[in-house]
Amino acid sequence: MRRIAFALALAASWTMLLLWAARVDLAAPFAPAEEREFPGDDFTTVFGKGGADADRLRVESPGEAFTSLESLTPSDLDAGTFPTLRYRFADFPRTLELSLIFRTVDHPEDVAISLPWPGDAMRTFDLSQIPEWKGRVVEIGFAEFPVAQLVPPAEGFKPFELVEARLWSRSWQGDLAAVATDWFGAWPWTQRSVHALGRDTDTPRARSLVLCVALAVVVALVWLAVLFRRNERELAIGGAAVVVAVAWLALDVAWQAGLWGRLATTRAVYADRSWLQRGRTIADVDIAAAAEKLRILLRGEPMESRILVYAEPQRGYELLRFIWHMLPRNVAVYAYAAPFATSIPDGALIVFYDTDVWRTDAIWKHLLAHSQRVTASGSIHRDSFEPSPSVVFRYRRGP
Amino acid sequence: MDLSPIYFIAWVLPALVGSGVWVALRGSVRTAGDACSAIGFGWLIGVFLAAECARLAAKTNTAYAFATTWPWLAAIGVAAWIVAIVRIRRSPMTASAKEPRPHIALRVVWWLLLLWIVVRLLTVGEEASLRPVFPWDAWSAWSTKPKTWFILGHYEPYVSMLDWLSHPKDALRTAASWSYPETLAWVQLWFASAAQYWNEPLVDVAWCGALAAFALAAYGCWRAIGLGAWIAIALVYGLVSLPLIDAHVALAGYADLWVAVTLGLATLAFSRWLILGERGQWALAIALALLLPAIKLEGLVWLLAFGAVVIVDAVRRRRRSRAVLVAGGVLAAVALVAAIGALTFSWNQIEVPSVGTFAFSWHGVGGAMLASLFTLPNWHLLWYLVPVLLVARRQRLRGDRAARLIGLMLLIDFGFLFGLFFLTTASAWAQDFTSANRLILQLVPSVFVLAAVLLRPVAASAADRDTAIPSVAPRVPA
Repeated sequence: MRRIAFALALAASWTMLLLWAARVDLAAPFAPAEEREFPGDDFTTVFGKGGADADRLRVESPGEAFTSLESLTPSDLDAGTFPTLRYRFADFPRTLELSLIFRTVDHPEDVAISLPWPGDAMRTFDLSQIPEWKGRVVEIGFAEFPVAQLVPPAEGFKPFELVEARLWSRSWQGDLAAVATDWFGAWPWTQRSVHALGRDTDTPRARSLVLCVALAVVVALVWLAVLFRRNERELAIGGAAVVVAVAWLALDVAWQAGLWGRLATTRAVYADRSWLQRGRTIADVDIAAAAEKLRILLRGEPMESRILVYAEPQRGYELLRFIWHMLPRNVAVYAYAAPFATSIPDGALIVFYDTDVWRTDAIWKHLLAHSQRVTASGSIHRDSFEPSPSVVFRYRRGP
Repeated sequence: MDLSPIYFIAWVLPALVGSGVWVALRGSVRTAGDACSAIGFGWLIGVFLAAECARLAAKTNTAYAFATTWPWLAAIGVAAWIVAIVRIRRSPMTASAKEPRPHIALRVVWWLLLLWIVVRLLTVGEEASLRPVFPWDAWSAWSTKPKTWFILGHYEPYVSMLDWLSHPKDALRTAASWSYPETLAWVQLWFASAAQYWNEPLVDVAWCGALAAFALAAYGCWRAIGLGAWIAIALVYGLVSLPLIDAHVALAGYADLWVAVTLGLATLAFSRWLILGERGQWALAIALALLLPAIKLEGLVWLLAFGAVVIVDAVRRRRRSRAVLVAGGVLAAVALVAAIGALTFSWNQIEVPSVGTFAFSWHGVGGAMLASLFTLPNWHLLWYLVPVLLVARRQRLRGDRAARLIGLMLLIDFGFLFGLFFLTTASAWAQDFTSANRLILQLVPSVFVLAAVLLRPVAASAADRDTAIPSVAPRVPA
């Protein structure tokens, strides 16, 4: 009898916990009272090429910068009335990331929200956590682009179909589906993944799965303590151990599924390549190409020549990647040398990566007053305006 | 140019050499648990020996570090195995205590957990073996030196920016990470030179080797101190399943995992010394702890905490000569660091070159720390269960010397992290969810060692003794 009571108490408690985790509005109906349907062919491609295929939109190729965008202009759509987004794609490649893009009357600038990889199933997202989702919606759509820093841009795109999108009014069904998508959705690795998982996207997330599972364990332990007598202590302890083990395993199964999802992205790019090709297949091909050009330009320079690279402060990632690709040249970040500018030796090379401050900034012009620009032909100032990702000066202190 | 057979030798040779060292220190291999420990400890010991040999012998031909170094490493291995065989022959043959056969359900659990561990290691290992180095600091800090030295073909020292600018004719290098320790760079050079070309996937998959080796070492050690087979493998599974640890293998390149497994191995060896009284494990623990600052700068803090408990243990045993030796070693390490000007103190701040200046004041980062430990998907339920375990086993924690000393070490370590994040401007690392979790990660394997010590059977804990007496008979493994 106690075991049945335990099972019932647990089921009731965990159901309440799940409703709390999904932020279910108890006053809302189970199914949505209002719904707006947008078949795929209602969308038009803004970036990229595609066309209607039955009631779907088939996207055949990306636009500039390997990005595609499909959108529509809904009529009389109030964001607050429809806080639940449902969306479905088909054949969506692992190598693309998906974002929701929208504009409202209150926020005429594009708002972009990263969504988990959609796969082929219907996914759900809770828009009520997005501050900008209010007022009349002017435009709504989806953007797709190669997974940042992981997938070589030219290799990211494969044709896919936008099957449909829906907007639901608040409902239990929508809230529960949204928390399921959040907890079990596939998110890609990011630079932040080695620091703190779960903080690797700026997308507003549902309540923590770990916290909810921990609370579920606590609830189970409380019911065990309440319902079982002291002489059944052994059973209770065994039960507690099983509850903890199952909870840990549940979290781990979810994590393993996430790992497989991430691995699928990596496999899509690298699995068919040799070891040599894997080592050379990188996402930042533009930066590597710029570094290669510079290495060719400087091939006559001794290896010990000091090379300082400057880039705009907001381009720290590109600057460091450029330096990484320049190795084994004796290269360093100019910003670290700036405090010792008077110590920069004559003959040092100063490289401006993707910036023209060398001709627009008075301080730089003064610093380089006696320096020589290094060009492929070896001549000076052959063409100061040629488009090049990097410009090189041989530093001279002057008289 | 693709995968060279020599690359496989670069994986196997460290295990052969290191296991020889471990067996020589242990004096016998009687159980499958010992074999696990020998391979696990051995691979990591061997890799570190390879790195240090390469550092000594291959500076002028870094691209051929493997070819230059392997004879030295092999010689160490042969010497170690000779000592090991002599010690094995001299050690008395004692009958192993027959362990009762576990219930069928526990045996099924054991195999399922082993399978799941293998699946996890294959998953993250494949991820690491597919793509070039990805995380920011991996390429901008930890792989910069080995890549440069390998492609250049020889070693060139990294110096500060001012020194680099001031000596333009000298073969010097600089980077933001110029003062970072270089052991890991030589580990990477070992594998790159065996592959015979700079290939980041082939280098980075060593991170998976480090985790797998620690898992083996831990399983063997925990069986040796008396844990049942299924509890030991459950603990190994618990460690290997932790998402942030998996992320550091899959996105290989950071040094934190190597610090974690090295400190974990030192703690494992120390626990064997404390519980089983194996003197070789004491020496191994000290050697591994001394290696920590050579992997990453904060390893010095973990070394000091480790040194403190070693001294407490030695003083307790009234072996003053050893205490003096250990104290002298720790002080020498501190003096060395002070000599190179690593730390500058003033009344309201501390300066760590290449890391930053940290002003002392209270910082309320409790919310971020709680999120890191309890709500973000980094640690599963680990930090919920650790306090429960400490409370449930509080008597063991008080009464058992091994638990008390390892607990003391972790208390000092976590106390340091508390001070760092709550009392200095390093709080920003907690607030922005960057370094805080990675520093905690470095302590996690040692937390599992403490858990194992607390969970071992009551009969096996013997008592709190002043002299180490083996309290657990070798077990028959599952």
